[in-house]
Amino acid sequence: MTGEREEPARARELEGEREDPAREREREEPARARELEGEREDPAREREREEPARARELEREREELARARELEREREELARAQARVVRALVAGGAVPGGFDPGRLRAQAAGLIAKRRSIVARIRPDTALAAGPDLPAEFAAYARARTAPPPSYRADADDFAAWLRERGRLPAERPPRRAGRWWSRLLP
Amino acid sequence: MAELGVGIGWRAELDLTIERMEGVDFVEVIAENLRPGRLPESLRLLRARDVPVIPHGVSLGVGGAEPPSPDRLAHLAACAEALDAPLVSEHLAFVRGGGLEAGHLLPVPRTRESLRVVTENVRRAQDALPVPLALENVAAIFGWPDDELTEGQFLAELVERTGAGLLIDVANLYTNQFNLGLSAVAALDALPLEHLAYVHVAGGYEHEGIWHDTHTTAAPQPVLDLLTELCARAAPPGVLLEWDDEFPSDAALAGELDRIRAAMAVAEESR
Repeated sequence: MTGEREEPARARELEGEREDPAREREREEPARARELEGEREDPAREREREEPARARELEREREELARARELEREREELARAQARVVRALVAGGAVPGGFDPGRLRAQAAGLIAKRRSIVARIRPDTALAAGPDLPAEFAAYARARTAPPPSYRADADDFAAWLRERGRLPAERPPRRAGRWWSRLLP
Repeated sequence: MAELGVGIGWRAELDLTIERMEGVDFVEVIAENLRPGRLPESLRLLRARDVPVIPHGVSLGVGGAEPPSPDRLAHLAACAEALDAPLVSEHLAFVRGGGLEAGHLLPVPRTRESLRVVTENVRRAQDALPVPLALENVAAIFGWPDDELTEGQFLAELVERTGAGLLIDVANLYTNQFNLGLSAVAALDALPLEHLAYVHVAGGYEHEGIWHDTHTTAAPQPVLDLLTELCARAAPPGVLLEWDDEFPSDAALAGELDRIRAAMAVAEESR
């Protein structure tokens, strides 16, 4: 008898589970079930709950985009300003407003001295050929060009050609500086 | 930051000098002169002796308006890997503009706007490198009319935002003090020295009232005094002598390293 009384209840329960999973959840998690019910019943309320999160996300995206645009604008402005300075220093451009012309001239001379010392190391034959006139010759060569070559190697070869045109360097390039492989054998 | 000790800038002309010199704890090599697949014999020998070799770039231009070139970054990364370097260093400078190469390091405008651009550039560089990046202050002959921050403030903010290390060139601080009246000690006070990676020391000369940081002479005493000032504030992981041309005798170079050690020792006594 006991089994009989219990069985229908159990059967109803099982039946209930099969027939209505929502009701089972309602028993187990009333709050969650009501929430699910609410979602199903009222899409407007669902949107209301999700909208603040989406709005925040959109806001973040808008801010990031604004920052990226601002950075792009700052890059362009910096590019223009730096281009003016480089033109003034190496290509005879006008001194940009607000800069000390004497300082930019000194910097320009410093850049030429730097190029000269590197060229002299890459092509010691040019330094040897120019001798004590090297600073003057290199400055004249640099002034005669609209812009420095893209690399020190090209600068060195161009300066050699410039000296050669003026008869200051033999037409044939001398052999490269001998390697010092033997020096490793010295004590 | 890795402990480095006292070192010297490796140059092809100094290869044997450096190999034979006592007490060279680390060296630095100009990255643009290296082919990672064909390292000079001398550098391979130093690496075999476990002497750290730091690739030092001069043409990346993280202070430029353009983002740093992926090819240049890949080269720096390859150098770091070939040398198993503890870090890579470059300069807070721009080196080109409007399609022209300046051929050397130029000071960036120190404004809030340019700080944002440079910060983004440094982050991109860090993303592309397998090891930490340290940034060096440069020697300037001219300043920008719209500078809002001191060099110390600019570098401090940049390091704060990016986590980059600091390579402090005391000869460059001296140059900026000499040429632009910017206090070197005030710069040391503004810099976050806890991010110090190493220090550069070098000599130059005065010509017509302007200091030229040529790396061709012994460091003048005021530069070594600045090293002492720096060491009194923080113990630098490394100090390195730069000498690029008009090389002196091996003994004279060794003597310069001794002067550096002595300048550091003065601060250690007082610290």
